[in-house]
Amino acid sequence: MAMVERKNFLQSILNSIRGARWLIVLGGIFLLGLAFSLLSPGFLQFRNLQNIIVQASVTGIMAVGMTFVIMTAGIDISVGGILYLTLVLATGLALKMETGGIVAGTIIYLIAILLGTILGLVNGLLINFVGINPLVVTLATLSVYRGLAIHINKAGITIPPESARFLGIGKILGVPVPLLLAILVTFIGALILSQTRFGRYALAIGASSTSAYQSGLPVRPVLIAVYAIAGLCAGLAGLILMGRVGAVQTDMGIGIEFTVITAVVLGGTLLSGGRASILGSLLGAILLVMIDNGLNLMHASAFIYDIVRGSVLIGAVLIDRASALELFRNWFSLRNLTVSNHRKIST
Amino acid sequence: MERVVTETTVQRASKQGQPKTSEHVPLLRARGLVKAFSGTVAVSNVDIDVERGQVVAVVGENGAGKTTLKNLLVGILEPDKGFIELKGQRISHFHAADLGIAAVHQEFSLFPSLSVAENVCITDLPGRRWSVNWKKTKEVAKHYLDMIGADLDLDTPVEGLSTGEQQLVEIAKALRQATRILILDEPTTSLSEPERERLFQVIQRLREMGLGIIYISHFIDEVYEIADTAVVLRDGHHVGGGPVAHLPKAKLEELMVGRPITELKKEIGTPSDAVMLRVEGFTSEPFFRNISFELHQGEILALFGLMGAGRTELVESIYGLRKAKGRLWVKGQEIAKPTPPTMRQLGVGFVPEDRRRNGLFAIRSLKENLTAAAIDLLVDRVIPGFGFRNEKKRAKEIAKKLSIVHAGIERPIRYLSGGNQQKALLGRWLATEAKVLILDEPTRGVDIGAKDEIHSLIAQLARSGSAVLMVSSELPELLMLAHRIIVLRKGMIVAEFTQDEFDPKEIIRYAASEQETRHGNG
Repeated sequence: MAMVERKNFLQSILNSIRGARWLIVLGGIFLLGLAFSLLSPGFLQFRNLQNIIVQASVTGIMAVGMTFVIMTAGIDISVGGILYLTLVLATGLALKMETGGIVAGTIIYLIAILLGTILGLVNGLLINFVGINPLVVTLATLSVYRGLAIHINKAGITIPPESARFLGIGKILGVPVPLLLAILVTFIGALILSQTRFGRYALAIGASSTSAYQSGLPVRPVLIAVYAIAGLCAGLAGLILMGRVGAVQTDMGIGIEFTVITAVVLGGTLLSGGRASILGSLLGAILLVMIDNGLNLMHASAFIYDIVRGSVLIGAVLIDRASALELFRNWFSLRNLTVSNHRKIST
Repeated sequence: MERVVTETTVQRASKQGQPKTSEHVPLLRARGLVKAFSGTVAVSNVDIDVERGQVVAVVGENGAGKTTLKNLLVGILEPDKGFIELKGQRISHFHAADLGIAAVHQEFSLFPSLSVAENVCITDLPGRRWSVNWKKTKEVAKHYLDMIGADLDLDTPVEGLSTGEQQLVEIAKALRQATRILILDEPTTSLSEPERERLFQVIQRLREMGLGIIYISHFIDEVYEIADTAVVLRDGHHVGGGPVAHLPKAKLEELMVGRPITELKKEIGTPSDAVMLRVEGFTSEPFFRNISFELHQGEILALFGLMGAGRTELVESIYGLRKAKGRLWVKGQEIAKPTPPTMRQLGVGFVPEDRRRNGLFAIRSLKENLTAAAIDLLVDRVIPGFGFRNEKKRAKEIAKKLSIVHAGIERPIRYLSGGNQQKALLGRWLATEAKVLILDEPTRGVDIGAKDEIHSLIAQLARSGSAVLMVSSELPELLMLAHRIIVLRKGMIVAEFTQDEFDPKEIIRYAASEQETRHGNG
């Protein structure tokens, strides 16, 4: 009986935790912040915090876009490729036009965002009309987009005009523009998810695409649009990164899909679709960037990042399986009992 | 809780040819089994005894707890309360195969691309540690197949076998492990008549070999044909049972259903002349061909037929889930290419046969499941395109109207019972104010109480002017609900009956046997 009560208690705690995942992630951010500031004096310095904000904005904005893909039970691993290709094409075109000043910056912004959307749309169309698995499609387009970019760029470095760096280093009323953008994107994303038909349909499709289709919902348009959104966000994130770095270089966006997907899962969005949290994704991104940053300050080995990031991902998925704990206990007791019973009866 | 008979199964033990001794121990004995899932009791206080050479039938409606009981007996689930004894020894947390217990599950666990011999032996392939002795494998498989008199080619992949043959493979496979107890879970649902007879011969043979057999079914006639004793479950409770020889059929039915069965015709009103849906020359080989009919306003039109008659394929094609040749009109407007979104806009709703896979959004809330197809109609927008004001209120109204039992409109729908889930799916279309409803097996897997409510609801829909096209395998429910029954056989319309011509025997005759076609005057 006591066992049953304890189980219910544990279950209820786990349930409430699952319901408000963003709170846990936020708690994690504070705890980690505290730990890092004690361990490494440089952590709380203004410059470093600014670094974290910019990096987290890049990852966070992409994570918001990725959340829409994952909530439909899809996946997009081409976002790093989209990010790089849009920058190469946008800066290349702007330089060709030989305009300067604000005009060049605006052109780069518009082209990058438009191209990001188009490249995402290509993913969506391939997945929906050719009927290939999203993982395979985006694995292929990741390779194509990046290859194309390097071919166009001849593996070189492009320096964008100074006016195109505003999104990365600019400030409005003393607040860094990347931070403002991240907040804006998260707000809009959350609004779309919770207040529009589109968001509702995306969740329904993720919960069961056949049910959605048989209920007469526009499954295909929604499934195409989510990839376009992920592409748009990748394009926007690229502009921040470019502004920060001050150049377009070949290593941009390499491996970022892993961090982005981890952030989304960490934030409480189910990889199997049907449940999502936009705010959770942003906070997940902040947490992951903080881990990278803190370890970096502590002069940890580069491999440690990967180990920690991977472990965090597994931990996040385990929270989703509230039954994991129970499973483990059952498995354990099963082992003990089966053997003894088996011996007794096998006569 | 009513426990009509409690001791009979125990007494029964002594009547099956064994001398009655005070220390007689049955082969398998379970007492007071209880199992609940997240608060819902699936099995409550069930006793069962099985002797060597005895067939014990576990009977009950869908959702009565039969499959949960089976899972407890094979150790897949662990009881919350109660115990199981094998030859007087308590067993818990066991691996059934080690104890000589095996089950043939409702869903087959065969590997389609592997051969018959491989499938029979798959749980423990003969051979040394890292290699398989294929010759021995075939010998072993042949041994068990011979045991049940199954003459199958050992090298054929099982995907090439008929359902009945696959079942024999499944039984042979289970027999290898079942040295004491064999459990058969609804083994005849997908069998043809000759296959079913063959299965019963096999069971007879196994009984003679001294196996204890637990036969799970909801077909009452089979119980009388094959079983020695019966355990009747209703809503998880053990409501009675005993030796079938002393259990009249009417009594067994009443135990299963919980009340005397009276099938009164529902008040279904009179259809008008307005044609809501018209189908002409619908063809989709090999499922159905040249199907034509009209569905009127306020009419309940039933499509009846045996499995494989093409009913589901036909209604799915009408709703645009499958391609078909032919012409289709909705409210007089011809639809060139039906798709679910266009049909929804035209006011046609569809409740699929497999609600878990194709109907529900299991992890989403009851509210969202109810409003999914009709958001625009149900919510008030704050800014155009934004906001879901009043959604919750309207969803609650629908839930109340359909008397959906729920613990909160925001809780995931997967926590509801099958009957309430089904009502929610109907509710989804009611919310759209659909004027044509296509219902594929609307009461499958639904408990008896909810079934009645769904019937009343369908009748009420028809009275209020909706047109209902309904597919069902249960003739009694069609006789009770329909204005008209169209009988399909092998993809063709073979007969049509209007309400005053309903005759169950005739209808089944047309559905099952090679008969010439007939047309009603309706």
